[in-house]
Parts: sequence; structure tokens; C-alpha cells
Amino acid sequence: MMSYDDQKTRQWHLDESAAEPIVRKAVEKGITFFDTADMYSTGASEQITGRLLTKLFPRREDYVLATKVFYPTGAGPSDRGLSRKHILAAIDASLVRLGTDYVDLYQVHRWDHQTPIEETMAVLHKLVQAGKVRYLGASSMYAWQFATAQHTARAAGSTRFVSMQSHYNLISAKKNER
Amino acid sequence: MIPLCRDQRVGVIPYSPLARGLLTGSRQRGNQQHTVRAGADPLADDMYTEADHDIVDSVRALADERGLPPAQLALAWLLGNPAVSAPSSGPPRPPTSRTRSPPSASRSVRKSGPDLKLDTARIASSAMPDQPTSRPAPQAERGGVDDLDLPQPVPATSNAGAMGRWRCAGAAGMVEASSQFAA
Repeated sequence: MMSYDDQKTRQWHLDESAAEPIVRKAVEKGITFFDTADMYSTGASEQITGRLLTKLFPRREDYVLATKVFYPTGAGPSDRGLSRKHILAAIDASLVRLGTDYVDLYQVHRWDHQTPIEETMAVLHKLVQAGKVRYLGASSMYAWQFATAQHTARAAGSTRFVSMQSHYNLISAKKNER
Repeated sequence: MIPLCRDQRVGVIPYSPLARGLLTGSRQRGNQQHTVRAGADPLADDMYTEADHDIVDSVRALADERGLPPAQLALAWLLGNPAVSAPSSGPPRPPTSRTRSPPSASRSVRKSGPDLKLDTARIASSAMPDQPTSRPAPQAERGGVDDLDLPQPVPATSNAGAMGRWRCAGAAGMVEASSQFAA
């Protein structure tokens, strides 16, 4: 849902009225998984996503909603990253923008070199326990980093990532298959 | 990363499954761009290089042989990978941004015939020349593109219960991903 933005901060962004027929067609075709991020168009993508999905699906249980955390959502030092402080603030802000009580798949957008992975995995587990998040996912990191995160969660008996959103296509395949 | 995910039963959600338009023909050699997105996407200029057009050319040649859009082949190749849960794709071009008519990404993958098994295997070997040729084609494990248009249960690859049944893609008729069905 990165393409949708009422502010049109990119020339190719589509506002909500232009997005609606596209998302409606997708829903009619049976698409049920929608992915956004808190940093896409500084939150506008989440707002449009939330409004459209609420409108197009009869029940929240009928679709799977994914978003991400890591990139700056404000100017302050705690408005970014995977610290306990930022994640706890970011999930609530995402839920408000999305207009829902929970996210199905909450993904760490990138690896955070400033925060111990133990802290990140522990707070993500708390979000699952609190019912704000159903599953955890990750995105765009080295395999050793992902393996470290999974090991950390496993050792702590806490929730592991179930998905990896990675740059993967016929052009990048060679790099990713290693 | 992909072999790790496959081994650990983590679902892969490929982003930029069409290489930000490169695999649809929206960008061509010599930095010619045919859509608004292609002309205003600096990130893509960093991610892909002129040399990547070799792969695009080979995808296009195979697609032409079958009378399919290259994007359809590119998506079928991803969906044939048992580690892949669901490509995350953007919308097709809006009518107002259409400048020329490179093959559209919005045609349904389901139109691919069974012959695509061969094509995707050939692309895979073309895109990944380092892979041992004896490696079994992933399509075989999934039953090829016949799986693509229905959310049929397929072997589990994900740890998430619900994730097994997600069907996804960004938009309209683009991909109807048969996703994983977790035990």
C-alpha cells in the first residue's frame, strides 16, 4: 500500500479516491493480505489502508493487515528504531492510523544497530501477549542478523518471526539464494 | 536469506517482485522510462543497473515465446518457489499515467499455461547460473502454475498458522497467490 498517499509526496502516489477502485478490485479478486508501513508517506498510507479495508471488508477477521516499524516517524531520537520506547509508541500510533485494535503481522523494517536484539524481541513478544499484534515478521537484513534474532527469541521462549520480507525477484535472485 | 527461510519454515514475502517495473518493461536500456513511476523513482536507479537488462532481455524473450507479459513470468517464477508466501506488489499503472504501452503487469498470472513450468525453470537457470543444475526445480514441489489461481493447500513452509492461508498482492487482478497452508 506504499503507493497511496493523500499528500502525493511522490509523483506516482495515488490519493484515496484513486486508490479505492484499485483496492476494491483486489478485494473482489480475493486478495486478503495488505502490507503497509508507518513511515510510508509519514503515516498517510496507513490511514488510507485502514479506511479502505474497513470500508471494503465486512469484518476485521476477513483480511490480514501488515505494517512495519523502524524508520523515522518524527524528528526526535526516539522516533525511530527498534527500542522498547519507540516500538511501544509506534504500535499505538499505527493502530490509531489504521483504525483497528490489532495488526496481523508486525514487521521490523530493518535491523537496528543501536538497540540490543534482546530488547527488541522482548518488547515484540509483549505486543503479541497484549493482543496488539498477532504475528511478528522481519524485513531486509542479513541472514546472520535474522538467525541471531530468531535464536534470541527461541532462547528466551518468546515469539519468533514467521516471515521475511526481502528484496527478491528475478534480478536480485542470485544474491538472495546464497 | 531465502535458503535460511526455507530451512526454518519462515514465509518469504518478496518485495519489488517486478523489480520496480524493470521486469514489466517500464524501464529499458539507456535509462528510457515509460511510466510516471519509472521516471520518478530514484531508489530504483540505485537498486538496479544497466547490466540487469541482460536478465530482463532473457525474461522478455521467454515471455514472447509464450505470448505472455514478462511480468507474468516473473511472478510465476516467484510463486513457484516453495519458500514464497506472497509477493508484495504495487498497483498497476493508473490510466492517467499511461504514456506508452509496455506489457502490463496487471494481467492475471492464471492465464499462464502449464508450459510455464519449463519457462520458469529456464529463467531460474538463466538468472542464477551458479546454481547446480541438478537442483530440483521448485515448481515440481508446488505443482507449477496450475496452483496459482486458487488458494489450494500446499505443503507448509510457514510457522504461522494464519499466514498459511493469506492471499495477497498489492492490487487488482495482479497476482492471486496461492499461499502456504501450515499444518
